[in-house]
Amino acid sequence: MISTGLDDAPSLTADEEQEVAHQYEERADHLELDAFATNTALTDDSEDWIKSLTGPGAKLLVGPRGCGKTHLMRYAFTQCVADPELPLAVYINLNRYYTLEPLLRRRPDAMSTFYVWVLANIVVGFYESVEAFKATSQGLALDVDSLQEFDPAEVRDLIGAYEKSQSPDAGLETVATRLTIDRVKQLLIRSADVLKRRRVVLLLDDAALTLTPEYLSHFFDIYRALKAPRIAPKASVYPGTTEYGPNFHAGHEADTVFVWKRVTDGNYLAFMQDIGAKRFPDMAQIPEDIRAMLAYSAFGVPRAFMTLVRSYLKNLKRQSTAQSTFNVTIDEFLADRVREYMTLKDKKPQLATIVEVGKRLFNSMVESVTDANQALIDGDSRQLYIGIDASGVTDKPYVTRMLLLLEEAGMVYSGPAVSHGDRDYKRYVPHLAALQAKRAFARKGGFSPKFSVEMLSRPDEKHPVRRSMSTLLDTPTLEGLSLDLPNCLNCRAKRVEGAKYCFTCGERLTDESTYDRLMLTALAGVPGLTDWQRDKLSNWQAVPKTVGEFIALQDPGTTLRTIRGVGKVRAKTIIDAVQSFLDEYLS
Amino acid sequence: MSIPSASFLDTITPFSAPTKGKLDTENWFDPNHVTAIQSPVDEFRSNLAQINVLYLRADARGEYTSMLGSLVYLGMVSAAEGYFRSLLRRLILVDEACRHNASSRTLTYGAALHHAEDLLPEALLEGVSLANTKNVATELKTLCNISQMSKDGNVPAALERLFNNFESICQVRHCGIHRFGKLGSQQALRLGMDKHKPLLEKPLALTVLQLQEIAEALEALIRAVNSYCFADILKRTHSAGPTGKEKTKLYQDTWQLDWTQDQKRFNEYYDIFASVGGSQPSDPAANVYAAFMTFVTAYNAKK
Repeated sequence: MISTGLDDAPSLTADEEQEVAHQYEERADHLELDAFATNTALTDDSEDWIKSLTGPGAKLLVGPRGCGKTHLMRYAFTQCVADPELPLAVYINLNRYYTLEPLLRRRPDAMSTFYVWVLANIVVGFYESVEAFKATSQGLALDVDSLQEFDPAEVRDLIGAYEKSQSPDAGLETVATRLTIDRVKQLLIRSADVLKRRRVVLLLDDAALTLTPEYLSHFFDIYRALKAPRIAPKASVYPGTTEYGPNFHAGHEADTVFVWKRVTDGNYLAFMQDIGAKRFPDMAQIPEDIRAMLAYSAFGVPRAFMTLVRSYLKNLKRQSTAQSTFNVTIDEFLADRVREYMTLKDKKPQLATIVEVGKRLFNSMVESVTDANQALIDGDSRQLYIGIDASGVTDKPYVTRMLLLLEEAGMVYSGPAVSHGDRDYKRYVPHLAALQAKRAFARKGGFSPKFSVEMLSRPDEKHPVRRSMSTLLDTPTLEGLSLDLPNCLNCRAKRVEGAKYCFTCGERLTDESTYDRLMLTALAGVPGLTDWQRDKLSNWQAVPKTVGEFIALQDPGTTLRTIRGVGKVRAKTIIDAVQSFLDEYLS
Repeated sequence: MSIPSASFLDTITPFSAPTKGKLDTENWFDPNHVTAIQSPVDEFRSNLAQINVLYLRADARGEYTSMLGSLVYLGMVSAAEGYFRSLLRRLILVDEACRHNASSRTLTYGAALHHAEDLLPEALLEGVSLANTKNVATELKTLCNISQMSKDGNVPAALERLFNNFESICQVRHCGIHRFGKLGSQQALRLGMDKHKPLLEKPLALTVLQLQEIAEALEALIRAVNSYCFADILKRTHSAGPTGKEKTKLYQDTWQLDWTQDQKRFNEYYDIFASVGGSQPSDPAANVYAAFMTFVTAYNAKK
C-alpha cells in the first residue's frame, strides 16, 4: 500500500530537482569530500571494512561496480585526515588507465610507460592528499620543504602526455626517469614522519583495469613492491578477477576483503536501509515493505538501491498501482543490469560467445531458484542458493570463465562451495532483482510486498538447489563454448587458440585496441542522450561525429554551445553522458 | 675375408669414406639473391615468419620435437642479430653522422678489395657479435650516436626490460651453440644461479608456446629499438642540422618543411625503418612526415 500523500505530491520545481539530484548523487567519486562524514552509513560491516583500509597490511577490496568501494576509500581517507592516530592516507584513482590501452597494441615498451604512469599517479595523489593533511595539522611545525621531491605540476603534465599518447619532451622525460618505486616509497615515509603519522596507507582505487589484464598483472608487481613495514597498499578490484599475474598470489600477498554485502546475511536489510536512510532521507516516503523489496533487489549494492528508489518514485507518477510501479521499476533495473553485463562483449570481444551463453546460464539459474521457491511458498524457508556440480565447472576453463564473468558483473554472488554426498557443489546466489522479476517470492496472481518480505526473511533451505552444468545448458551449447578470435590480419587464416604467431604465414597475431574501437562510436549513439540531443548532434556541422574526436576537443562545452538551443546545462548533460559511457565501458 | 686385428686399434669408430672428396662451399650460397630491397625490420620479420612456420606446422602435424625447438631457437637469435647488422649498414650508407663515425673505423684489406661498395659497412662489423646487449648498445652509440645507449651496455630506460629478455635469450643461445643445449655454469651464473642451479647440464627443452614467447620477445625488442632509433635519428637531423640548436652540427642539409621538397630525403630514412608488410605495418610516409613536422614546429618554438 502506498500513502495517498505521495500520489498527490506536486511535481518538483527546478530548485527541488537540483536538491534531489544532489541527494541522489550515487557515485562516490562525484561527491565532495565534506559530504562523506555525514552521508556515510556506518554499520558493523562497513566499520570493519574501513578498519581494513586504515589498518596495516596489504588489502584487496573486492566488490562489483557500485558496491561502494570508492565511497569506503574516500571515507577512510577523511577518517585518516581527522584522526592523528591513523596513518597518512593517499588516495589514488587509476580509472584513466584505459587511455594507455592502445599503447599495449602498438608499443613493445608499453609496460615501462604504464609503470611510470602508475607511480606518477601515486605522486600526484600524494601531493593532493598531503594538502588535506597539512590543513588539519596546523598546530605542528611542518618541514614541508623535505616533501619537494617532485613538482606536482610537472608530474601532472607527464600523466597528461601519456594519456594523450604523446611522447614526453626532454624535461618530462627526466621526471619520468626519476619516478622509481624506491624514491616514491622514501617520499611517503619521509612525509609520514613530517606529518607525525606512524604509517602510510595507499588507497589505490579502480585498480581492476578490466580492459588490460596485461597491465593488471604488472600493476600487482608494483603493488607488491610498494609494500613495506610502514606502507600498506590497498587496491579495489572486481570479483572474479583472476589475472593478478604470475608473481602475485591474492590471499598470500594481500588479504582479500569482500565489501559486497551478502544478501544472505542476517542483517542485510538493516544494512541497506541504514545506508539508504543516511544517503537519501526522503526514502521514508516509500512504504516499508516496498522499500525492503527494493533493498533486496539492490543485491548488496548501495548505488543500485539509490537507483531503484529514484526510479520507483519517478515511476510512481506514471503508473496507476503500486504493483505496476514496482514491476516496472524492477524490470527496468534488471534490463540495465543485463545490458551492463552484456557490455562485456564489447570490452572483451574474444569472450563474446562466453558472455552470450553466460546470459542463458544466468536465466537458467534464475529459473531453477524461482521454481524452488515456488515449491516452498507455503513452507517456512527460502531458497537463494543454487549449487552447481563442480565436476562440470572446474575442469572446463570456459565454463569457469563464464561464471567468473557473471560474478565480475555482479549478476551472481558466489558463496563457499559445499559437498553433498560424493559431489562438490559451487554455490551461487543469482541477482535478487531477476528472482523478483520472475516473482519467485510471490503467490501466483497476487501482489503482496508484505508476503514477499516475509518469505525473504525466512531461514535458508538446508541445501542449495542442485544442478549440473548439463542440466542448466544443453550439450551443443556447452561444447560450442570457445573464444572468438579474429583471423590473422596478414593471411586471414583462422587462428589457433593461445597462439601468438599464425601457423599458416608465421606472422604475429594481433588484437585490436578496444579503446580505439570505442572511440569510433558515433557521438549521437551514446546511451543516455535524449532524441532531441541525438538529432542535433548528428546534424550539427561544428560538432565531431565520433566519441574519439569529441573527447579530443580542447573545450567540448564551447563547441556544443554552438548548437541552437544548447546552453550550459544541456552541454553539461551531453558531456556527462559521454563521460559515463566511457566510464561504463572502460573502467 | 676377416678384418686384420691391428685395425681394431686404429678404427675405434668405423665410418664409410665420404663420397665428396672436397666440399664445394661456393655452391652453398644463393648467388641469385638480391640484397636489401626490404628494410632491416622487414627482413627480420620475414625471416622470423619463415622460422615460425617451421615449428608451428610441425606442431600442427604432431611432429614437433624439442630438438627442432633448439635449432629453431638458434635461427631466431640469428634473425635478430641479422637485423642489427643490416640496420647499422643501411644507416652508414644513408645517414651523414653515421657515415662520419664509421669513416674512422678500420676495415680489413680483403674486405676493402673484394666487397661491393654498398656492402662494405657490413664488413666493418664482421668481427663483432651482435647477439648481446652490450655490443648492440656500443655499436648503436659509437656508430649512430643513439641517445641513452652507452658503451657499458646501458640502454634507454623504456627499452631496459626488452633488452634484459634479449640478454637472457642470448645467454641460452650460447648453450645451444657450444654445448648442444645443455646449461653451462657460466650461463647459469648470468641467468641467476638461484633459479638455474638445479638445471646445470640439463638440456634445453622448449615447448611451442615458449618458442612463440621467445619470438615475441625478440620481435618486441627489434621493433622497439627500430622505433626508438628512427625517432632519435630523425629528430637529430633537425636539431643537429644547420638550423638546429645543437652545437655540434652533424648534418649539412636543412629540412625544407615541405613534403615535395623533403620527400626524397625523408624517404631514405623511412625506407630504412618502415615495415610495409605483415600484420602491423608502419603508418604511411606522409603521415609520419607530418608528425615529424609537428616535432620540428614545437622544437623551433622553444627557446
